[in-house]
Amino acid sequence: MATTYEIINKTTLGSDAAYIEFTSIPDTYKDVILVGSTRTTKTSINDEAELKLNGTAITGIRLFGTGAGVACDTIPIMLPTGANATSNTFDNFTIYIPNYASTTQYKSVSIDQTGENNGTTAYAVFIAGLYSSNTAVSTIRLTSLTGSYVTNSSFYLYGIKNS
Amino acid sequence: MSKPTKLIINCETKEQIEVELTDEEVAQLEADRAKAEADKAAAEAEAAAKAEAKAELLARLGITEEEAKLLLA
Amino acid sequence: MAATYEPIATTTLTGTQANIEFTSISGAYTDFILTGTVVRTAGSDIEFVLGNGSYDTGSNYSLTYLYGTGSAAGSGRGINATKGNAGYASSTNPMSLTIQAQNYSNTSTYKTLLVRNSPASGDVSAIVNLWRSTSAINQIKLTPNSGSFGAGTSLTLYGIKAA
Repeated sequence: MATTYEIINKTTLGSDAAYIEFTSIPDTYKDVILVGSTRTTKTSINDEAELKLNGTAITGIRLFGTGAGVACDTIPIMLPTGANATSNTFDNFTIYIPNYASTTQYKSVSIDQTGENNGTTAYAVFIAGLYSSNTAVSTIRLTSLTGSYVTNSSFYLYGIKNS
Repeated sequence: MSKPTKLIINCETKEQIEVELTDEEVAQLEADRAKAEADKAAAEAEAAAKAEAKAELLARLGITEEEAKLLLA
Repeated sequence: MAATYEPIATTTLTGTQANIEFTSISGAYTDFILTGTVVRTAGSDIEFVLGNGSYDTGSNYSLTYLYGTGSAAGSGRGINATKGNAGYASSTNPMSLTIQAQNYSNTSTYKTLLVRNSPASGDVSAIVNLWRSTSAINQIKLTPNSGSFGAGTSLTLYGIKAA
């Protein structure tokens, strides 16, 4: 039986990178999911990171908790762990894009991200995103908006089949 | 000073290439960052304006936020 | 080697449907995940009922939800409900939806379902639903409480084995 949940590609950074990009994503799966664990060089508890699909930033809603409160806005920017968080601590995230290869509808994006920090502030984030294009997603880019992703940040792209 | 780098992972060939950004790419990266910052500032300003309008309305009505929630429940 | 994550059934709508049901769900798995893209003909909640042989429409559902509208965040509870809830969207853009049920086929405990719902217009939400029944789940029916599921809705039920 064909494997349902397959690794398409993966990487663990050996040096800092401002952004990472998966290109030439095959259209042979039903859904894709990008999971990873990151930290950046921004001198703060958290950085901000932008997701672009086929070169276009997603739009959407963000719900997040800080440990002291909860907020919601229309800025679908992720909050990766920054350089001032507890050392050796990386966040984790999943970016789920069902029906990513559809050529007849826009693509909904579901992002869950949590960081941790042995302090008063840490972030848990839910994002509902939208890629407003009928083009199949063939490129996924994650960009640190202030610094760079550091060594040992990891990114795993899986394809999920439905038969 | 070295330029930022990007990591390109080709899912067809499985190649992974780490390269320095070109001048154009650096400019685009900075533009993306500036736009994200501007969008964030605009959203925050809108949220602040709504909060201010809400506070003014509550003050005019002479009720607290909890009382307003009770009214609307 | 036995597959761990297997598609059980999948559907993609080419027209509107009032509801979508997955029935005769095998009890051979440990957990199931129902996931995909939902398109609606109107803004609405997605509700669901569960059952074993027949659907439970009694007051045996409760839920806790965390949501963000884009400008406000909130949380709430529902008790003694006659349906479970899989989130709200205000627009007809595609929305990613995941419903996860751990230990769904056991006959000793009540059933907990985790929902993540990511509409870029409407409430990004995380919901925990409880079905107060020790029956194994072998059927689930989803229904928008306004309008219908639209063409392009695509859902797959996956079974996950623990060994």
